[in-house]
Amino acid sequence: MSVNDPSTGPRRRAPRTVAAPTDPFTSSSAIGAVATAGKTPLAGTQGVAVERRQPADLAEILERVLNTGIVIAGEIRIELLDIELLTIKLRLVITSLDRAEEVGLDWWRNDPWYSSEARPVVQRLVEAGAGGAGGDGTGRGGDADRPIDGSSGNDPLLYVDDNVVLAVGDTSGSGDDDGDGGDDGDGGGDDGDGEDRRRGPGPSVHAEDIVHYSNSAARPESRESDDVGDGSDRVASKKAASKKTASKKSASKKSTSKKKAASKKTAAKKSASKKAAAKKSASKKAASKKTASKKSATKKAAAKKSAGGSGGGG
Amino acid sequence: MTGSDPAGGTLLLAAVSTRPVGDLPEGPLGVPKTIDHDGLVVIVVETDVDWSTAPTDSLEWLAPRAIHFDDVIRAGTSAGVLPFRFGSAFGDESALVDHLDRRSDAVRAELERLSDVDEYRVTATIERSDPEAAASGSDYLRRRRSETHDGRAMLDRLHERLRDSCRAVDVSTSAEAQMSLSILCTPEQWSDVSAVLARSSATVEYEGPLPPYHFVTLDD
Repeated sequence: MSVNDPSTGPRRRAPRTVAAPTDPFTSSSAIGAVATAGKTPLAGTQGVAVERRQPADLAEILERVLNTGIVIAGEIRIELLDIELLTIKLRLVITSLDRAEEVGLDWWRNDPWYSSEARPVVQRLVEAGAGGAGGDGTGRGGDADRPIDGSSGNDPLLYVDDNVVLAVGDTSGSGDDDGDGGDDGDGGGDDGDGEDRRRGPGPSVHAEDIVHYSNSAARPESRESDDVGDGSDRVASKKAASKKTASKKSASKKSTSKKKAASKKTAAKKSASKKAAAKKSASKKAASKKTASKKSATKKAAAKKSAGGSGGGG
Repeated sequence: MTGSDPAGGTLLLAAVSTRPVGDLPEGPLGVPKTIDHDGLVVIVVETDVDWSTAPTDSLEWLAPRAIHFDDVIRAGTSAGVLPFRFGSAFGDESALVDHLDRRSDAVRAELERLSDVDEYRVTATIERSDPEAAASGSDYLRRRRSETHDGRAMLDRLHERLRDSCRAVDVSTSAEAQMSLSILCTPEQWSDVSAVLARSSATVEYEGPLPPYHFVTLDD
């Protein structure tokens, strides 16, 4: 079955024009033109169409060019010029986080802006010896004291990934870096991207610049403590310990005052019961006195009675 | 090869082939050109975009450039190209060639592997019955559940059959009523694939032939 023959195969439409539209949001040749063609039932089928869709819509094109195709040197990020980082962000707009993780994009896990457990790339670079230690496999050996200033038209693009600073620039006329400690990319590297570690003759990166760049980024205050290295981790843990002790102390103080309050309460209760007992005994005494005086009065009256009766009868 | 920097611009690497490619379209990205190097035809776009000031967070800015990039790659489809991802930028030709030289074996092996195949993007959608045709709401829900169940089984069967008819199938998205697939096949296999698609009771749309975007890898 020929795919070109509408009577026997899927329907084909006119080839897509290759000239890019001036406005992709209004041009029917670029976006949203999928629905313009009808569905052509195929002979011998259940009346269901196989339709060639042409051209693709914007989402599909973005998904294709931003999400598929060969990726150079893994997931690279052009930190200085911010372009690959943006590309990744856009990929995430049109795909899901799950899909992004499937294709190996998990930068938000390692980005201190998004994860409190992550240390910044530049910090890791500094720790990995970006300050010019030769032969460390980073390819920065010989020229680590030349900063990128971004002012020259020949400045390279700066690619930064987890452990590599890559400057792709004009490599002509500089002589090679071979033999200066790792720039040949053949030995000691962990991913075989030797060429990514080559440096052009012009600008390159050293630790101070990296730190400066790192500091130039506005970071949320709350992240500050997470973005430091091991030293401040220790300080942080000390602080945490002292906080713990202080909270313990305050807890014990609280319990002491509670105890005091309780004993006060008990004393007050005791004194109240004492008072009540005294009142009771006083009232008892008064009652017994009353009874006694009543009794004596009765006795006296009886005596008087008996005395009066014997005198009148006699 | 020259080692000069193109007027303060950048070379965007679009694709690599071993065969000559046809006319490459100009567009918002700049002027595309080919660089012949050691038996490889490298398709690049010389762009004067100043990435430091470009409004790269604007979809309106990016969209025409992404479309242009896709057009440049697709212009080489008939020559059998390995597409690169948008954003593979180099300061000059020598840096680009140097990069490719170091991956020369892998590039050639991948070109050989994918030399006779094309990619097709296929979307299969299950037909739904009209809610207004249902006697009642519960009747509609029963029908819908039944359609979904049967439709999923049908899409799974379609996937199985396509796998037997082509070089490779990659399921991009698979929702309740729709499945998007990338299919890698030779022109001869496409006849079988289109027959399988036509026999399916789903509504099927496809786009292609495309360069093997979803199937290209370049292991370092």
